[in-house]
Amino acid sequence: MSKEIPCDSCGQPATVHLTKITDNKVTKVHFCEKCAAKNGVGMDALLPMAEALSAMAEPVSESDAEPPGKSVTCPRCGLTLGEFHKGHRLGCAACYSAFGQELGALLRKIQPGRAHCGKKPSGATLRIATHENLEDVRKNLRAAVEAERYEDAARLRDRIRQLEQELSLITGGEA
Amino acid sequence: MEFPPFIFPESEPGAHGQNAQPIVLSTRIRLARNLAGCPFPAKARALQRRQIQKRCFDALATLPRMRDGHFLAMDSIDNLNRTLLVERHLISKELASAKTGAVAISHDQTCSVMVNEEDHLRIQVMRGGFQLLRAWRTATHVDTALERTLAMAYTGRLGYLTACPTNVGTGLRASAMLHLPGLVFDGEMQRVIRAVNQDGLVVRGWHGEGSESTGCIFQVSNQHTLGSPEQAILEHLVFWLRHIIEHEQHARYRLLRQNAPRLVDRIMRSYGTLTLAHLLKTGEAMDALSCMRLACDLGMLPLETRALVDRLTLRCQPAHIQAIVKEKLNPAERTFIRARLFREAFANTPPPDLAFARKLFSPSPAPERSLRRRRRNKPNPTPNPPETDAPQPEI
Ligand SMILES: [Zn+2]
Ligand SMILES: [Zn+2]
Repeated sequence: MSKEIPCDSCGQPATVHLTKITDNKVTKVHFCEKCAAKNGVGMDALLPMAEALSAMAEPVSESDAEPPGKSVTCPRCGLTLGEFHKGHRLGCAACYSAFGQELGALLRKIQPGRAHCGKKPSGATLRIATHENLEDVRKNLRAAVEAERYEDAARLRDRIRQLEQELSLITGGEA
Repeated sequence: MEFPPFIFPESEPGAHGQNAQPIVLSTRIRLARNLAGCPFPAKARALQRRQIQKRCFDALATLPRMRDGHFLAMDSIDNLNRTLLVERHLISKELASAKTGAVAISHDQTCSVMVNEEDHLRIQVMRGGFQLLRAWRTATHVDTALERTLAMAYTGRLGYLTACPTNVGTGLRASAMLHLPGLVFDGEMQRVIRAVNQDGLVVRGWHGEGSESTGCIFQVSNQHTLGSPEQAILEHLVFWLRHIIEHEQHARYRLLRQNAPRLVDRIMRSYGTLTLAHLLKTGEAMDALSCMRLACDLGMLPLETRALVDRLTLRCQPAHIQAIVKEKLNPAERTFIRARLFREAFANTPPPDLAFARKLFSPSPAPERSLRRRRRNKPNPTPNPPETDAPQPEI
């Protein structure tokens, strides 16, 4: 048997293991059956979705918070980071890149994976997705060259070739 | 008062023409999608939302599955009809209360696509019994068909982009509606909820997020949408559903063996309530129906009663009661009408037959002590649960 985790409260073997998100920090709590009941770990405390959503309400950390007058705003839909923290909802697809940093930190907490590996679109979606992706990678390549990160640049150049090929397959060579 | 025709055809989401199964009432797949290049509904202007609705409805109208379907704008139907759709799980409470947005419902009511809810598109497919993969195949088919003309917001890294980051990636929420009276009576439900919570699943009541469970009905669904392919998300859920079903069967068997009088008393009282009461609140009716369903599973009532129970579980809800009698009723009037409808519905149902249950636990009642000892050694002492037609998922 692997070693047992003791109850945070009384030291008996714990049977209730919870992941809590408070102050934007992920903490694990362990309770025995009795202490869990005593600490009010009931149905309400066990809605992970609610926890995840309340984690969104808080800025990532004090030091990361934008200085006043220079708040992050989505250039496409005008949603501000503050509005997102209040309503937990993004305004448009471009919000994902506008709030990339904050969202990345959040997604790491509420989702087990970093990247999508499920259904890939076909038809109309694929055409647009590949095109937008290509634009993004081209932008990154320019940034890499400017910053003299040549290894990154080489990798990005290969990726662009690959995407251009994909796009020409989808659109029938008019990329 | 006007009711659209989709309420009365006997197409309750529980059964959909198939035999009602024990434990798993129904399964459902939901896919969240957004059109590329348009702001999400909450940020879209009224005109944009109308254009989005038109584009989505135009694309939906070309699908064979949506032939003779119902295309409804929320502001074109009244409050009672919106509630009716919520009670049937065809639209969400959010869509009903926002009063903007629309829904397309297939003629057989197995597929409903919400437009301009939290996301531009919410494709939902419902199936009676344990048919998660079949529902998935239908949903992804609808999605692929729509994608032929509608470009969706998608990136290679994050997958399908959604208004809430809890849906990003696959946009997939798969769920099953489970009837778990054994685990509830046995006081085991909290433990089950905690166990599945720790493995990325969410348990909710009958009407979704935050709702209380009534009638021992629980909805179990995946929590995460990013990082696993759809197939893995579904298999993970199926694994846990099988596990919960097994636990429920053991709990029922335990109750029969150890606490038969209490179980039988609950079933008989419920039968009494449904056949004799003159005032019935929704919650009380749901709990009594739950006991009737259990009685069917245990062989104490004819099997066709299960489909009747499922239909009444749907119809005992407030908006349905009013739709059935075609008039607006206050809550007090509803409890009266509800009781009358139940007395009529169960008029030809015989009282639960106790012979079967008696047979099950009387022949050689094991002495309490030995039974307890066995239980300590093995958490699940019941190799043969009493179920004869346990739900089998099709894989
Ligand atoms: Zn303790
Ligand atoms: Zn935006």
